[in-house]
Amino acid sequence: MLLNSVYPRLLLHLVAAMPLIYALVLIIRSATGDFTALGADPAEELMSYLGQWALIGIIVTLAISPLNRRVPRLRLIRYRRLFGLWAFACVCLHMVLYTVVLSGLNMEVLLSDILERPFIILGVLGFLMLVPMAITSTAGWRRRLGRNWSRLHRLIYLVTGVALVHFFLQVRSDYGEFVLISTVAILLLLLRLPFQKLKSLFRQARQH
Amino acid sequence: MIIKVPSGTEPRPSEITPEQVYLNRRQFIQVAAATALTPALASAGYEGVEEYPAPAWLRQQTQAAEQWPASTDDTVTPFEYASRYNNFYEFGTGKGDPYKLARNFVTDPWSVVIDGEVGRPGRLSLEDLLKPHRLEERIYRLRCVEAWSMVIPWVGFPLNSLLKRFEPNSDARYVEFTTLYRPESMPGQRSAFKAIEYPYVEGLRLDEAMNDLAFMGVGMYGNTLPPQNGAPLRLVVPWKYGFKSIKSIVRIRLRRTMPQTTWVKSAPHEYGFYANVNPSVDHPRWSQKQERRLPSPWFRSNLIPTLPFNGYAEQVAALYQGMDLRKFF
Ligand code: HEM
Repeated sequence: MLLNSVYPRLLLHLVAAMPLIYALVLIIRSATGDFTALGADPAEELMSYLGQWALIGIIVTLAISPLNRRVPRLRLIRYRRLFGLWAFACVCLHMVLYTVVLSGLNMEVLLSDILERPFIILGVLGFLMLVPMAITSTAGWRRRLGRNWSRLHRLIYLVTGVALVHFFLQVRSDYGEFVLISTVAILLLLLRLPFQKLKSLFRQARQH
Repeated sequence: MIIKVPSGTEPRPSEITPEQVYLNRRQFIQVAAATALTPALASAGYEGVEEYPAPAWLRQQTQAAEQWPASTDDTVTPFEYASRYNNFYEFGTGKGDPYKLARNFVTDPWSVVIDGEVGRPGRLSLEDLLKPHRLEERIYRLRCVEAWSMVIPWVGFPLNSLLKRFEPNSDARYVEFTTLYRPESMPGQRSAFKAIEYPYVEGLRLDEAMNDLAFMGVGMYGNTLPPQNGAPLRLVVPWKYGFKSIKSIVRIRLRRTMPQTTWVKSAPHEYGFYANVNPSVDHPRWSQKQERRLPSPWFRSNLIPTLPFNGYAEQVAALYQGMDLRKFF
């Protein structure tokens, strides 16, 4: 069956890599003098683009396991890793643009940013949590870590929270985008609450 | 009450132009004559300037502006950058949004109310407001609180010459400026999730406003202002962060008390009333030690150190003598 062949995987890689592929298109257009691609400050523009897609990528990754539970037939869980890793790639490039291009690797500025600016501290925390997750995303690590693997990868909930606050702290004039993205993220996080357990607890409490 | 200011009582230019400027201009003309140049017109030599709708009289007046002799020698940022990289939150949150969303913003007819602690309050059409002023071109550095900067040739006239016409009384200590409130053409004002209050309000202390560098802009790059840059009338205060230089002004009010400005109201620990460019006081989100001067070489940052008062310390530092600029940021 087609669903079991390599094509869906390839296709989904393509989907998950879309933000980066499009970033490449934007970079090429900008390099060839197309002002409408990334505007007057291409590095800045691309950094915020990557930040947004990193967050969206994380949210898509969060959506996989609830979806998998609804439609187990598709076994979507097989593709969770690829979404997570492409999102991580966005995070890395987002950070590289900030440190190398925007701050010009000025250590004094970088150090004071990382130590003093709450939104940067949160970004860095998010990144630091993602690193061990990315490293242990292989089948080998998964086997070796056993039950601890799931525990470690529950960090994604924290990463999402930290990234949302990181995003919130730089809203200037309008919360529109933030409200949209955070609503989806919070709904996905709420789905993680142990509803069955809560329900039975509630029932028990009523019976008494 | 708004009293219509009678026409025919405009002061002579020598009354309204501070002597220093007047002399400088004469000096400049002498120099120009000596080097066998005609006084250069502002419109000379900017590339790729797009023309935006404006009344013919305003365009003419703008194009006839004379050069101000004290302009910075820094390389002028190309028009394309200055007109497509804007913070004008009434027209969207992205830097490229105002360019797109302000396209059809109608700025003619336009009128401005001047009131509060002035001897001659009134509502003036833009034409009446500009009539007595000789326009000049000043090339100023513009430093945004977000740590980028540009160099822009503005066309306009000193704010002090405008204020003097309306005779601020002895109670006037601050000037409050208000941007147009027109939600039907300003999508940012319509948003259900706006994080700042509209209309946008900014302000200056009266002595800051009377400083010769404080400028009212009606044009840039030798032509009228594009809507995204604050057409038809905006403030330009080059020694303060860009958000002080309020756009599309409809009201100028002289006040006894310090105005509540938009950013101070929205985040008082982040934005101060003074907002003087100051590399030694960081904003919680941005280090102010350096700035990206636009345009940058492609995907590299043209990083330069930020100067106190954006390099205008000589002209304005005296305004803040004895003030702790860490406290009054
Ligand atoms: C989990 C990892 C991260 C995620 C999901 C993330 C996401 C975001 C998002 C959504 C934005 C807003 C973009 C916009 O709308 O303009 C943003 C901006 C930004 N991020 Fe991150 N980020 C992460 C990590 C980092 C790290 C590690 C750094 C730096 C060390 C960083 C530095 C910045 C900066 C400087 C901005 C722009 C601030 C501004 O425009 O004022 N981020 N990020």
